[in-house]
Amino acid sequence: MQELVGKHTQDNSKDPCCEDCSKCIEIVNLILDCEANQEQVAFFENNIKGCNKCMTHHDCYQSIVTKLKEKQDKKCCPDAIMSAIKNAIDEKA
Amino acid sequence: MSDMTTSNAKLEKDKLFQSEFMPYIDPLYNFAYRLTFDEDDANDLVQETYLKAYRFFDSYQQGTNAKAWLFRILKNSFINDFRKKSKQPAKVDYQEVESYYNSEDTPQEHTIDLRSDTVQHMMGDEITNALNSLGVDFRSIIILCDLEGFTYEELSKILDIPIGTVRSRLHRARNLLKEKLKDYAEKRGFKS
Repeated sequence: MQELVGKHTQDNSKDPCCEDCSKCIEIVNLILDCEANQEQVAFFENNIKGCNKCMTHHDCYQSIVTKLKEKQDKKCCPDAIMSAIKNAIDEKA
Repeated sequence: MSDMTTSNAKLEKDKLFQSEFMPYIDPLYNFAYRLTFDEDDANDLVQETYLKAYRFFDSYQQGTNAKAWLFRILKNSFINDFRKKSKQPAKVDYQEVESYYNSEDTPQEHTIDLRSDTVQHMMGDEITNALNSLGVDFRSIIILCDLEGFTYEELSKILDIPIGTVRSRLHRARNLLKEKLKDYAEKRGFKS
């Protein structure tokens, strides 16, 4: 991931923010998933935050995930299935 | 080995199996349901997963990531065995597949613009429907990452793909989801 930041900074030395948004958005995705390293976090904080397109992606995707989680209908596995699994395991000698 | 020793070993194995694997039955059931969209199919898939896990329990290293291991078994069961005999065959969006495979392993250049406040005005159902309309690979990665909270490394093991592919598939899946929501927003007259 060093490469991702390095390449982007080099390619966009005049205007580091988002001549190539697809690279930035990869970093935004890493930030959203808590997978970014320190260098990428710093890059995000210094550069991408100033780019509307990338911030729109960040905020929009965060809203989607929040909505998905709110709406997520968490089902419980039926007791009958748990019993069937336990019985099948007990039967295996 | 005497009968008593065999029986003690089985008791020990069953105890370990219970404590390591059974706590994940609800998240697994939810994942199975989101793959199959059918309660009976989800029930069968979960049972099949646990029985396979029990059968191959000796190859599981105690204390490692039991949840990821189970999800991997479930996903493989769904792809390899279950989908063939399922009542509802998986829907394939050929346009998605085409753009996915034609673009190799690099993310698409464009991203979809959709405003966060537009998303906030949507009903959650629209987002769930948009997610459910994605192809199984894209749907799975969003569920596993955004809803189940697996790391990229875990996703790589569960889905049996390199981390780079996890990143690019996630990128495409999110873009497709946003594209579907953007279409929805435009049809409903939201400003996207």
